[in-house]
Parts: sequence; structure tokens; C-alpha cells
Amino acid sequence: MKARRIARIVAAEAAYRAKRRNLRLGVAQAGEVSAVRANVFQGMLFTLFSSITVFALAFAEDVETALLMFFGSVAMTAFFNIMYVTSFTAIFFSEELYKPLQLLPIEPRSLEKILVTAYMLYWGGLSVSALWIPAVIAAPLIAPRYTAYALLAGGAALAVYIASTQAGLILGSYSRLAKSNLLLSMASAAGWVLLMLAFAFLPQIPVYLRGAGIGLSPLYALIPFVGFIMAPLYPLPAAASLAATLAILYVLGVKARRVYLGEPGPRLPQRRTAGFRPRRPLGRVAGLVRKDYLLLLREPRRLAGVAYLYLFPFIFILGGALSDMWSVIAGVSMGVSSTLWIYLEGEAARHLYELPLTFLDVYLSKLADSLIPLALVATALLPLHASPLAVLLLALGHLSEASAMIALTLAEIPEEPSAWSEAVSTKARHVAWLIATMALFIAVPLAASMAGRWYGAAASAILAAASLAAGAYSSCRRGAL
Amino acid sequence: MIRYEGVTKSYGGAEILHGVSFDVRDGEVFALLGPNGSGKSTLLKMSIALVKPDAGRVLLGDLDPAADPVEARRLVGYLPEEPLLYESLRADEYVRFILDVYGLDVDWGRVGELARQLGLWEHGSKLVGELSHGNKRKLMLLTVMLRQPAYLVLDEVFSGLDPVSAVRVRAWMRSEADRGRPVLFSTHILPIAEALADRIAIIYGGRIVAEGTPQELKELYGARELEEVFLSVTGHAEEYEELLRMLGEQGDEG
Repeated sequence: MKARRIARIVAAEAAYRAKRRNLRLGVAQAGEVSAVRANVFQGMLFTLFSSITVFALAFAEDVETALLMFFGSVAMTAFFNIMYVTSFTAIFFSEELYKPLQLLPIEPRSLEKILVTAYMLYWGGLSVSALWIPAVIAAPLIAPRYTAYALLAGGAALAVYIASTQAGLILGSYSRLAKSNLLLSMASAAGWVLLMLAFAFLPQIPVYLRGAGIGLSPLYALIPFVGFIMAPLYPLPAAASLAATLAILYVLGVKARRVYLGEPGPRLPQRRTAGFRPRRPLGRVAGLVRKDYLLLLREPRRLAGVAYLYLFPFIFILGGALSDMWSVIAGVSMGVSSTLWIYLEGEAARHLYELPLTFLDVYLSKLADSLIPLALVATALLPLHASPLAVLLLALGHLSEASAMIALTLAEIPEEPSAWSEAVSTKARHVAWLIATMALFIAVPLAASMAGRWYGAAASAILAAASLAAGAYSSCRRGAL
Repeated sequence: MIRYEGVTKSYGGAEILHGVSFDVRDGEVFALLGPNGSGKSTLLKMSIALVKPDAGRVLLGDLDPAADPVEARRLVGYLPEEPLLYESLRADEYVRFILDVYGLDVDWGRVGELARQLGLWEHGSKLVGELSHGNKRKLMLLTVMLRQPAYLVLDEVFSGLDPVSAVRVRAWMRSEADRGRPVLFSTHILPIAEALADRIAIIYGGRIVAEGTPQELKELYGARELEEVFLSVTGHAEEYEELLRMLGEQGDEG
């Protein structure tokens, strides 16, 4: 009971700190933490995913198709669980929430219980199990011929669930290091991007495998965590997969124990030179931009979020040339990331109010922040068979969305500086703005392009100019921070 | 000159400043003393329009910070009580950022010299988040020193500073006043206020209850130490006498 109470406080504090940094991913609510609220809604959503798998299973014509569904289910479990648990432990470690726990007379065993309970019950970790438990229960009823596979898939999902929880705890504990080590930060961001891309392309894997004529093979049964689902087909390789899975679980368990014990995480040997290194002076706005990039490079999760959105045009181009329609959509989608530059300020935003800055300075710097990756993307796209018009549409869509979202968010920043780090606008209002601006900046150019390609470009250019003018005007009107 | 003219401020219906008026003259070190929650920080924040008065006004020379906050922030070297810095910037990156915002290109030899004086040199490449509370304040002080602003407004300036740094900061404050700049600071360390300030104001219950040179205040209240003046004007004189008597008795018994 005591451990559960402390776990609840830990989860609430983590949720509060994450909210202040606008980094919330778990479903715990700051202030009022409820195990039911944290798990039920999401659990229902995951049950729906799971039900789709089960129904699809009923129509699966062969074992190969059924196995791909099980693999997908296991992969989804790993994806969601690692996303949730890492978001929890990253906050837990970077905000040093383990420190107050270390001051309390708590046994190491209880610390483990507290951390797991905080994640499972109050951060929504338990809801992830809804991705596979309903499928395992319903599969023997709906598709009895795959019962053995379903039970084995249940075991695989459980193993993945435990392993990803442990791996997430370990990865999260590295979050502090990523701040002071650029290489680690980039590696971590790349890991996040790969995870997001893997999830986005997961449904394509069966199509690709079938297209490539790759069928069942005993080699697949060797893969840890999922290979042993194929035990009825290939018992020996499946046994090897099971052994490897158990070995990995053991190693992860030993490593994760350090995290459970609330130790402050690993440290890298640092080669620091003492002193204040001279740095090139920049102007006011350029100085703000440099500061923002230095902050972003030390926040792998946000960096990954930006990188992922800016990969969109390349993803679209994989399916052929970047069409006008997809250029506009990709440009506007990339512009969505622009508010991140505002939230990046975190609690230190209050410090900006002590400096001789205006809202226009902030607006311009945030817009410039978002233009740098746009310039890189546009430069990289041209040699990749994207037409200059497509790149222009992409840039205009981006400009329109970025300017509008930055200006709208800045307009919500309070007069007194005490609350900028809190959510600047309500989530509902933010989503409403996103939908409205995206609809405007995508629909109008596309409708205009029906009359001719250049009409679409002209509409995009007018919208971008209007968005920039409105953004600059509203920021000017607010004057000093 | 920094002038406070009949400044009034309320929060949530409760008036915390009631028509506060005082001047900090050019070339003067002025200490603002008062118990916790007496409104010192609110008054100091008004110098750069972080908080705006409900009535009355603050003047930096002829400039009203509430009317032109950007110019006020350019002119004032303000040190907040709680440093809220970018924890993911390195200390030297933070200094560069502040200099960029103020459009200054200083000689980095001077940065190093001041950093050494403040005992910050070896922390230059550390993340701000890794610095101690005292070093974060020193880092902010370093940027104020580099800027050489026309007015100095320093909230709890000695809080968290080690004795060596405190002595250096005192010397710097005095030298800035000697250059003709008004220096306004708040502190709870009364001996420092007594030794450093040319004049002192004590704020209590949202009002200035005493103002003058340390000597004038002591004479006025018949006190040997500034501490006695402070306790007397904040209504704790009897309590103080009682405590002194008890300590004396314990000493005799010992």
C-alpha cells in the first residue's frame, strides 16, 4: 500500500514535469493520478487493434499470413511499450526524481516495486498488454486452427513486453548523458527516428515480403522473441529462439536492476577543457537561433520528432516523384513541428522576459529555426527527381504553417512570465488550430491547382505571404516580452 | 537615479505594496531590507517591468520601465533571486547567448578574467544544469558585469555565494557606484548591508518603515547594530530582547 502510494506520487510528479516541458507521452495526468484513467481509454484503443488482428486471423488462408499478423502484434507491443516506458524513465532520470526517493528509508526491493507500479499503473504501461491479451484469448475461439500459434504469440508478446520495459528503463537512464554528449544525443535521436519509421512501415513488411517472394523459412524461427512462435513448424530453431530470448531477458533484467535501485544512471568519461571558449558573436535573432539549436541537439526526443517530420518528403518520394499534392502536404506537415521551438524554451522561457526582447524577435527566431531544416530538405530533394515547382510548393506550405502556428502559439503566451512553461494553450485549442491551418494551407492550393499547376503555386504563395504578414503583425502588436 | 513613486501592487485582491516611495541616487549603493514576503523582489522586478505597478511608477532617470520594457532591460543589470537559466547550455554558451541578445562583442580575455575572479573559470564548459545554485548566480553576475549596465538591481545578491566571491562582488558593487551608477540590492545579511550600503530602506507590511544611512538609523532607534533596528521596525524588538536574555542565561549556566 505504501509503495503504491509513493508510486502514485512519483507518476504524478513525472507527469507534471513532463507537462512543463511539453514532453508528455504517458497518459498519467499531472495532479490527479488515477490508474483507471491512465489505462482504460488507451486499453480500449489497444483492444480494438488487437480485435482487428483476431478478425483478420479468421480470414487468414495460410499459416504464413497468420504468422505475419502475430509478428505485427508482437512488434506493436514492443513499439508502444518502449515509447511509453522510455518517456517515463527519461523524465524520472533527467528531472532527478530518484533523489527524493533515495532520501526516504525505502528498501531497494520496494524501490523496484515503486518504479514498476508507477509505470504500469499510473503511466499507462498496463494498457499496452491490451495489444495482445485479447488476441490470445479470442484467437482459439475465432480461429481454432491457429490456437497453438496464438498461445505461442502470447508468450512472445509477454517476453517482448518484459524485455521492452527493461530496455526502456535502461535507455531512459541514459537521458542525462545525452545532454552532455552530442554523439550519444544524435544516436539516441536516430534510434527514436528508426523506431518511428519502423512503426510507420510495419504494415508494409508483409506486402514487401510477399512481393519479394520471400516465404517461410526455418531461419525466421531463429529470431529471438518471435521465432519460437513457429515452434509447430520448426521445433529445433524455435527452441534456439526461445533460449536466446530467455538469455536476453536475463541480461536485460540484470542491467535494469541498477535502474530499479534508483542509481543515477551511467556516466561517460568526459574530456572537458576548463575555461570559457570564445564563441563567434551573432546578432540578437541569430543568437536566439543558435541557442535553440544547441538546446535541440541535447534533447534527442524532440530532435527525433523534428527529423521524423522532415523525412516526410523523402518518404513520399520513395513511391515515385514528389507530386504537387504530396509536396503541399509534406510542406505543411513539416511546418507543424514549428511550435516545438517554442516549447523547447521550457522553464527558462521566464529568463527571456528579463532580456531586452520583443515578441517579434521571438517570432522571427522561431521561424528561422524552422527554416533551417527546410532549406536542407529542399536542397536534398532537388537531385532526387523532385521538380523545382514541387520543392517550391513544399517550401511555401511549410512557411505558411510554421508562421501561423508560431504566431498563434505566441499570441497565447501570458502577460506575466510565471506560466510560459506550462501548456501555452489548451490541447483542444491547439489541435483545432492545427486542423484549421492544415486544412486551409492544403485545401486551397490543391483546389487552385485544379485550374492549372501554376494556380496552385500562386495560391500557396499568397497564403504564405498572408501568413507571414499576419504573424509579424500580431507579434509586433504585443511589443516587449 | 532609480525612483519609486507611490508604488502600489496587489495580487489576488491582497495589496502587498502600499504606495512605496524611495530614490536610489547616482553613485549610491542602496540596500532594500525586509522579511520574507515583504515585497522586496516585487519592487526590484518593477525596475525591468517584469511586474507592473497597479498605481504609482518607477523611473530609471526619465524612463518608465512599464512604458518601454525593452529599453529598461537594456539599461538595467538585473539579477533575479532565483536563476532560471537554460540548463542544457554550457556556461560559455550561455554567456555568448546573453552577449548576442545585447549585441555585445566583448574581449574573451575579459570574460576569462572575470570568470576567474568569481571562481567560475573551471566550470566554463559545464552544462548550466550541472552547476551549483551559487555558481548559477555567479554566471548571471558574470553576464551583468560584462554588460556594464547603467543601473544595477540585484535581488538577494549574496545568496549562495562563498565568502571570497561575496567579497569580490561587494568590491565590484562599490566600484560601480563610484563610477556614478545607482546600485540597488536586497539582502537578508544585515552586516553586509550595514558595511556596504550608503543608505538603507526597510520594507515591512508593504510599506517603507525606515530609511536612511546605517548610522542615522542606528541613532534614530538607539541601536548598536542594524539588526536591532530591523527587529525594532518590524515589531520584533521585545521578542529579540527575550531571546537575547535567554541566550545570556544559557551562557551563564554553561
